Amino acid sequence: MRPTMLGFEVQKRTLQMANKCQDIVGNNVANINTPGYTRQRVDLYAMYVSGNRELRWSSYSNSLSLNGYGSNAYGVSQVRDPYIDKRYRENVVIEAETEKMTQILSEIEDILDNFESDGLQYHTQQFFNALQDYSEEKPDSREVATIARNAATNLCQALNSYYNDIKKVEETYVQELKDTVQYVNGMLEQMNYLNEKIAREKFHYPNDYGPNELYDELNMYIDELATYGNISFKLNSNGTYSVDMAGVRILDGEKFKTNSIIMRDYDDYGAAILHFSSGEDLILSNGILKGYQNMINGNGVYATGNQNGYYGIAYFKSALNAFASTIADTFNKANGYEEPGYENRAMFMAQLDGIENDSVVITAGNIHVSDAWMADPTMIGQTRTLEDGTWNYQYGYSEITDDDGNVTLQNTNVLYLLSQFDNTKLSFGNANDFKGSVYEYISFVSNRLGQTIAYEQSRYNTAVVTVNELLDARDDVSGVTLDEEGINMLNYQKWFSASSRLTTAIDDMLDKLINGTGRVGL
Amino acid sequence: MRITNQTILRGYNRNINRIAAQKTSCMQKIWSGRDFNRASEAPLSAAKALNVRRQLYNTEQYKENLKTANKFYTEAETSLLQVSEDLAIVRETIIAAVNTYKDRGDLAIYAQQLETKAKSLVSIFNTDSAGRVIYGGSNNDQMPFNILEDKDGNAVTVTYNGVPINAYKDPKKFPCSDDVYVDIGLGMVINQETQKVDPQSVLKISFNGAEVSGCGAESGFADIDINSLAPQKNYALDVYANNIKKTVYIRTSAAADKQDLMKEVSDKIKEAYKYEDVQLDIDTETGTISVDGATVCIMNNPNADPDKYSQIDFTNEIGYTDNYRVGLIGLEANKTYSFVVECGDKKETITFTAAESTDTDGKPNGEYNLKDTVTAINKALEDAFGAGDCPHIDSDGIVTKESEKVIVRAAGGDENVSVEREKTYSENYIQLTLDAAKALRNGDIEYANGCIDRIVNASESLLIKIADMGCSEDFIDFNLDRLEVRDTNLKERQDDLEAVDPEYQITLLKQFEAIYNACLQMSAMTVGNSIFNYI
Repeated sequence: MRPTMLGFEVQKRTLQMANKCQDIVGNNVANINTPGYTRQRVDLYAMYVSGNRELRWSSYSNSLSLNGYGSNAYGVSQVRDPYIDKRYRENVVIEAETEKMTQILSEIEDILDNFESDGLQYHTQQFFNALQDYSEEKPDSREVATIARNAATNLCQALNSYYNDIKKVEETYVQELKDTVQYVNGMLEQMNYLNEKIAREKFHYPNDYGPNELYDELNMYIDELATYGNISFKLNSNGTYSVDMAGVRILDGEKFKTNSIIMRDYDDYGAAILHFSSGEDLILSNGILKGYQNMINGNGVYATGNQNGYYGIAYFKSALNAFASTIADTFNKANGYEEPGYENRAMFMAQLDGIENDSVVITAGNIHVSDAWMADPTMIGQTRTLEDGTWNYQYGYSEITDDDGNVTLQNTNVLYLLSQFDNTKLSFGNANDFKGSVYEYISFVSNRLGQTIAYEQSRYNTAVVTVNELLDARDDVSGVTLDEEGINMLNYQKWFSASSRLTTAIDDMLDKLINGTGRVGL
Repeated sequence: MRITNQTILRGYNRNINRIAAQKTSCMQKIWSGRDFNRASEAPLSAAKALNVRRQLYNTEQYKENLKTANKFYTEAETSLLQVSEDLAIVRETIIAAVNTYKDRGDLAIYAQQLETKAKSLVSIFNTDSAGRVIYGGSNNDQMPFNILEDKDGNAVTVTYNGVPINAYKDPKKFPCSDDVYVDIGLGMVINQETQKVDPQSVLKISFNGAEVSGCGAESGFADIDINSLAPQKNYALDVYANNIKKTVYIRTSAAADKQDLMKEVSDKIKEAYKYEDVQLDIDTETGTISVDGATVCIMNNPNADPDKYSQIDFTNEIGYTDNYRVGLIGLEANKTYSFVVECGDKKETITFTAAESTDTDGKPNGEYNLKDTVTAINKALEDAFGAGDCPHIDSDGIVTKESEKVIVRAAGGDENVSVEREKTYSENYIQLTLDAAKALRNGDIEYANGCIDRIVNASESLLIKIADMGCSEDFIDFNLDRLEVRDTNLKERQDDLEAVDPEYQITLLKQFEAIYNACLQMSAMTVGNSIFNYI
């Protein structure tokens, strides 16, 4: 036996199912271009009646009455593969990191370029050429000596300019990192808000699926957050998500708390250091934030304190400083600066606030032609001789003759200065960095920068391919195809029609029963 | 596999952007002419390219250096050719002066011609090229050669960079004698401690005038005019004795006697040379300063403040050899002459009769016969000193003995044969010219005659120097050619590394353009029909 109106109930539910399915098809089609949308479907199941005795209204010997209750729906679910999500987030973090590093390094390459514009090699070469010209002329020739000095001035100005430009890049990216950290913290707040909304929905409808749209929005935030650092996430029992970054909880879906990121004062620490508001240091392995840190703190073999061994902004600043310092020391020494009593023979000195300062280490930012050389461009034309009796080196210079009748105006000193360009025993920076000639060092730095960029670029290219494949894989699961939705639409339409027809048939049958049965003689 | 709209659109966007980027890259390569604009685009090529660029810059610079040096050498060679011509004229002048009898007036005219020619030689050696003195060594400022005159206005002493040319035998001892070099890309080697340049690794662009024109003399002495000394005066003298220079500062006392003043000068000079291995012989009566077997020259120190220091008058005279010459020219036939010869511990008076020439039929003709006279003198020497180990006289009248010093003196008497100690000659042909002029002025034909051979030898040496200079110019040309070839090769290499292959890039550009256009045409198909179009 069966309830009389069972058929109607079943079909009524079927019509509702068909309508809902059609609604979801419409929803999918409407959101086909919505970023982050995950296609939805109605999870149908065939109704069954449990073995409850009260429902066994027919005989106890068979279960005929337990069958034919039609279908029902659990709810509207999202079609999403969490494994693909995890893989995507693990790979997009590398893509983002390498992209950021390539971008920063390219800016440094713009500054230190030797090919498209007149770079460091050009200015060094001009200085060499000017000294060569000077070596051919009378050493007391002020005109030619001035050209040589001007070439040195240009070299110093080029170094100052490169240093200041790199410093500006550094300042720009430090500020950018600060802004990025604020942005990430803002994102965390948004995600926390979404978690709260999801939790409320789940609280009121604990057994229902969804809220799908909120999950889509939250997943988008998680995807974006994944580009900033290596994260892991988990679904909590209350339907919210908790996210860890570098092993530290930054979004707690159960307590609805965020653990914001703080950047320590760059000037105080001399490095970009991030930590959580809960106190732990943020030690990332990948991500945009890591990219910033690598590039800002990357000081290669010169790394100290909180710096790291990447070849970043700090390294190329140090490399420039090493170049300036070595050039200055080499030429100063060759010109007799270290001889007792000849402190005025420095060719290059540090200048702070426009005043020469010999107690400060010479860097690319402060290197200048010395005041002594500025005053007398032919200073480097003075030759070195051994003083009779004392056997000390002395520098002789006179426009005519000195007391001994010697006119010490020949180009030995200039040739000696020229020979420093081919001196392959110069040490630049730490002994671990480079030993060779001036030109070899320029080539070394340029090559290092080029290779670093090329390496990061190739990592980026590889990561892009992987990320695109994962996006395609995600679309394969979660994306909407018009054809599929079209077919579904047809299917659900036919289903609705069939169910309607069945309802009509059941109505006819009941009408026969009610109005056409047991009325004799009427 | 599900191909969603997003997948199609994303893939389309990605690919069309990629093709657009490649197309842009091609275009950039074509219009820049470069295969890469950043080191990161091709790190290995960039590293090599930087090296090639540096070599190119250097090659250009070395070529410029060589061209400058070439001009310098050409001017130097031209100067030497002029000197060679002038030396020929000097030789001819001296020959003309000594060959036939001239009176003192005629000789004075020849002397004047020689002086003028010496000044011409000096002006040639003082030539500069674009403000750089050619023969000044490292003296780039003043004229290296100068001629000092005596109180009669005769040009007597040649100085080089302020030092008498006879003062040093070694041209390197003169001031500004260090060579000046220029780097021409041979791999300049320079001692980092001493700053000494390896001459074989560079090109010399200085010429030591003392080396080119000769310097030094076998012996010489300085002669201070003691009458120019005054009491309570300051003097600053540069003394060059046996190749060692000392600057001596003297304050004379109030003594009125000139010899006393000269003694004070002498003491100061000897004091200056106290620690040197120089045996000075200073005659306070005559003011002569000499060193046995060496040269002494003296100059007023040119840097002394003229307000504080007075100047002395002096001459630097040529010295004498150890040879003595007996005057055998113009003797009277059959007349007896004598002279004294000291050799070892023997001192003998040699008497001889000037021989008479004979006619072709053997009859004496009353003419003086030099050859027979020399034979007679040698016989007399043999008789006096013993045969086999005695001094000999040659047809020039020089009396010598192997490995033993011989001193010859005149025997006295008005009509006896003259004996003179042979003078040395300067190694410098300008000084030689002036000395020849002085000899002619003094009537010393013998000495002037002796200058001729030396001028001839100097001319031959000069030709060798001109040839050397020619070789150097060939070397410069060779290096210029070498650098030209290197330049070409480097530019080719630079092209290989940096330059774009235009044909390839244009082909690639066309290809990308076609693909890009095809993609654009396909854009309408990216969002193609779906089932919705058919139901």
